[in-house]
Formats: sequence, structure tokens, C-alpha cells
Amino acid sequence: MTQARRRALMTLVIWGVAAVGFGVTFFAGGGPADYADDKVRRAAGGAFLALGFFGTPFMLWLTRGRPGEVVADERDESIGRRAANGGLIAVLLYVFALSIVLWERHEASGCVPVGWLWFLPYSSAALAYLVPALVSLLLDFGILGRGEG
Amino acid sequence: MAKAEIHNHVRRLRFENGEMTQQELAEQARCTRQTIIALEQGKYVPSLALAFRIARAFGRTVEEVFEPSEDEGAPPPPSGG
Repeated sequence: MTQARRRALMTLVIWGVAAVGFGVTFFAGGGPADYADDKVRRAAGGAFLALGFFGTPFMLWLTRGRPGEVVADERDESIGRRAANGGLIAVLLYVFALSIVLWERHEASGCVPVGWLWFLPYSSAALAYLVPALVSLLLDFGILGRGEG
Repeated sequence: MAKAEIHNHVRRLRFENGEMTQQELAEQARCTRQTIIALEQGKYVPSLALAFRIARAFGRTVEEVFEPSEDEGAPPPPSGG
């Protein structure tokens, strides 16, 4: 297994757990409305996010190549570029869509629960890790077209 | 613009070269084994630089390893005098 594939798989696992855990703590109990005041849920959500943010550099260190080993070639780099582009577009669309949904749902009341301002950036960060990893695996296995680009 | 369709004879040439393994070819061409697998399955068209390295690993020219598919259009025959 190439380093790129191994890293993409491990990123999916790490950030999959972090995103699901963060999502569950955010929507559990009182939901977004009282998330900002609920210290236990904020701490739990932060712990899941910490798993992602600290787990990623640890995983990169763990999967580093040996000296002289070909760890990535032109195909891996091409796939990486296309996956990064896909991730950027996905995050932009996600921020746009969630912002519009929040506007539509809270336009009448004139105020948005502040917890959403916590959810939006951290869920975007999780997506920025998850989507490129997923896209690179789909390209790597030839499910989403060929590797060159 | 459509991607170039390039066929290759990598799999056949590996076996003609003492059943060279994909890993051995990858090491000689300085790429990963997954790239050799993708090449043999027709799922990847290499850069010119990698194509040259693969051809050199077999001791062949690039044209002997890679060739365009018919619909890509083979180079026109030289015009006779």
C-alpha cells in the first residue's frame, strides 16, 4: 500500500471519528441552542476535535517514509492535487449551503444560536480533511476516473 | 479536451524480461507499485519522463512500450516521393 493511500485511509478514520463525535455532542441534549452554555458538551466536542487535530500530525509522523524509499510518485501527486481541489470546492459549497439554511431557518426570529458559529468552522475543518481523503481514495482505486490530471 | 488513450505493453514486457515483478519495475522506474498496476490496467497514462524511465527499464524505446490507440490517430506515414 502506498503512503498516500495509507494516509488517506487513516485520515478518513481519524476525522470520521472526530466528526461523528463532534456532531453527536453538538446535536445531543439541548442541541445548538444551548451548546455554548453547556460546558460538558463543549469539552466533549473539543476532545473529539483534538483527536483530529493532534491525531493528524501524529499519523503523518507514523507513516513517514524510510530514507531512499519512493513514497509518492507523479500519480500520487496528481491525485493529491485533484483531491485538494475537490476538498476546497466541497468546503466552499458546505459553508454556503449551511449559511443559507441558517438564514432561512432563523430569518423570522432575527437571531441565530451562537453555537452554530462554533459548529460551522469546526465542521468545515473536518470536511476539509475528510473530502480530500475520500476523493483521493476514489481516484486511487479508479472509481472516480483516472489518476492523471 | 478528452484524455489521450495510450495503450502499453508493460505487462507483456515484464514477463519477457525474466518475469520482472511489478515492484522491481517500480523501483527501476522510480514510481510506486500502484502506478505500475494502474498502468497495466489502462487506468493511468504516465508522464513522458516516467514513460522514458519505464522504457529504459526494459531496454526498449518509448514507442515499443507505449502506443496511441487507433482513434487517437497514429502518426501519418511519411509521404513518399
